[in-house]
Amino acid sequence: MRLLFDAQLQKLNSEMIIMGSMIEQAIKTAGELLISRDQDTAMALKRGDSEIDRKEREIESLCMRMLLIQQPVARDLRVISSTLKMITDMERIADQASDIAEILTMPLHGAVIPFPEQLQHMARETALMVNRAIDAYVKRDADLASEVIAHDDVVDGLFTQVKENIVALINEDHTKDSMQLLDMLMIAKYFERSADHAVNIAEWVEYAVSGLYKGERLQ
Amino acid sequence: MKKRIFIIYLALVLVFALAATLLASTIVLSVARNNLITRLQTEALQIENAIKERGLDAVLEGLISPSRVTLIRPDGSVAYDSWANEPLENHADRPEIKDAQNEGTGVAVRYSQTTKSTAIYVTRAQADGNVLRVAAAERVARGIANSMLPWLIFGLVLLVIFSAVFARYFSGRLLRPITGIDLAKPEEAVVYDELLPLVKKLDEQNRENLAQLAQLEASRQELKTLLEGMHEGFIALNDKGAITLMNPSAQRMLGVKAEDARGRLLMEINRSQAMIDLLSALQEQGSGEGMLQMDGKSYQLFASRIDGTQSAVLIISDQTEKTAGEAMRQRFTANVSHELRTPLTTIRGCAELLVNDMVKPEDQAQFYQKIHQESQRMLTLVEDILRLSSLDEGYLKGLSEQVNLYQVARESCQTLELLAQEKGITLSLTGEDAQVLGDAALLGELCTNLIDNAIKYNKEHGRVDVQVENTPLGAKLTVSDDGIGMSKEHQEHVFERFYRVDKSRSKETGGTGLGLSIVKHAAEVHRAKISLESEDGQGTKIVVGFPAVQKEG
Repeated sequence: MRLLFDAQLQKLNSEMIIMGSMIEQAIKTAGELLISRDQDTAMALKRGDSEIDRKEREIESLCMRMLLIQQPVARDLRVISSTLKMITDMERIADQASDIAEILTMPLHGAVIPFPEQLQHMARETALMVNRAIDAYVKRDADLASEVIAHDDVVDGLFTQVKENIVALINEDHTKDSMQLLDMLMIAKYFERSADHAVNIAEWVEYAVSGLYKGERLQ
Repeated sequence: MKKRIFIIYLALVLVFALAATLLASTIVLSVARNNLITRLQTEALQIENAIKERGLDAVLEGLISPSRVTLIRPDGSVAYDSWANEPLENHADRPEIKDAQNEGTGVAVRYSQTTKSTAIYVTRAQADGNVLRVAAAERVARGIANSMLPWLIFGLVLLVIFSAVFARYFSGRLLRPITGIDLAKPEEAVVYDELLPLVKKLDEQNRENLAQLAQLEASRQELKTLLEGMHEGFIALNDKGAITLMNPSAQRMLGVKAEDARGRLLMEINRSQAMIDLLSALQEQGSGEGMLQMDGKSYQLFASRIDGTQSAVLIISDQTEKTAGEAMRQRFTANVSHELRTPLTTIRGCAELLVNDMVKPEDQAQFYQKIHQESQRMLTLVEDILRLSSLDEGYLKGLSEQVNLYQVARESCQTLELLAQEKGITLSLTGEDAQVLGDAALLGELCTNLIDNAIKYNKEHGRVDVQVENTPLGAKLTVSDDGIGMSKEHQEHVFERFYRVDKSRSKETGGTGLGLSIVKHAAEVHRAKISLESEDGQGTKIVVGFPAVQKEG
């Protein structure tokens, strides 16, 4: 029985790494789209979201089976329950990436307003946070996880700057395509949300490793 | 073994000793009994003699004897008994009495009703028909035997102690040659012939083992050197997909240390899409291939399951240069086709118009001129390409020739003097004789191309300075102009084939875009170093540093 359980845990681990790799790529591609605005890539990114959703359901059912049949305790239980929480956040990150791609495939009215450098920077930082959060999961590294959590302030700071940039753009010239400016704000918000989800993942990694969630023992 | 020998030996001694003791006590008992019988017989004889001398009553009265003395009448009734106080029953049926009556003497050992114990009886028939019987309890004989017992036990204990010590020593001694065999050198110090075949076999096996071990170590070392030395990354995975071995190249490529990677899943080390696809292909089909892009490098991945197992090996090969080379070749081919097609289109267009008689006679000369010009351009281009490809194949002949670089530069300047004059450019050559080891024609090509470029990409009334000098490091050729120059981003690419700083100028200047490529190749053939200094609008300075000529002898 334990042998089967170990095999299932191992399978869970590799499935999580695969899903991690998928969402990491998705958010990174979303960031790259800000520069390239490549329509084919954006469409591919939107299509890829359903595959990530399928992966989430696969992992979810694997977790459920393990919980019901094996009735794990202690650390094993922590790993499985935190995995269940993590995949939700991971799936949300993929959704945000897909939403960004959605915005970028919509027809534009008027001249293209280039994305501010701060927003591109924000996209890179968010992708890095997601990458680090997955790394922390793979390596079961609580230190790396807390680094990710601390890094959220950087992305939040950049979000404020992007908002100021957009306000400046609005004030500068009223004839601009205001829809594009609104979309820009949405995109920035999506990246900011993705970074928050990365923080959640990192917190669950901490819990899986140490048994402490946000520094407290869960009852 | 030693303990067993000791116990068996001791037990054997004990059994024998006990048996001997038993035997001895039996013998002692029988001897004591015989002695008692003899004593009783002597006593009976003495009493008989005493009776003969002194008369029965006197003897019986003064009889003091530890033995029981009985006198029995011929009819069996007891006339006298020294122990019994009451009259005794008729003794005629007693065996010793019967013997005495028939044969004169008798001996019997039997249970006595009178004394309630086993007794020894000795009888003698008297001349008057009476029978004299002398008896003693058998325990008297036993008592004698028993008195010997302590000595016997003492002897037994002594024997056991002695045997134990001896057995210990003996078993140790017996086994010492066996326990003392040096397993590494068993043939030495063999005491028992019986052990010889065993020892020989042992020795043989020892040698075989050592040889096999050495062979194993050698092949292990060989494999290790091979794996450590190979440029390709090598990773071995066990049946669970965990890393068991990772050579230094693989560690470098994936940016991980072997001790950190061992026992972990490959997916944990690298979770790129390429790696995940490769691993799933490996699991499903038993082998897989892929390209991994990482940190600006391209790696080719091959994975294959080891036959009959679930283990697998993965090879990573760095394809960065190859990919870059391929991209450059593709660009080159595309450029060549384009560059060849441009003049051809012009030629065909002009020719078509001429053939169809659509050109006014007065304009025809101009068209012929155009065809001539364009075909000339094509020829130059084809010549340049041929020269480049011959350089690609390795231009090695004639490198032992000593060439005067100053001479070569002067010839190039003379050839290009006319062109310079046409453009109103001042061309000057300064410097001294400088020897270079190489090929004169190729060096001429190098100088001409450099000076030609300096003239072409110059402004009106500009100047081109050519300088040849000797430095401690070797000959140095400097071509500088105050022409149009170029920005930093172009400087990286100018030595690439068909690269043009300003694409619109190519027709105007008549270049092929291969000039600096030829310069680069010629310099490489001569192991010379090229450095370029330029700024947009500030002119260009190219320095070619040749290696010093080794003095012969």
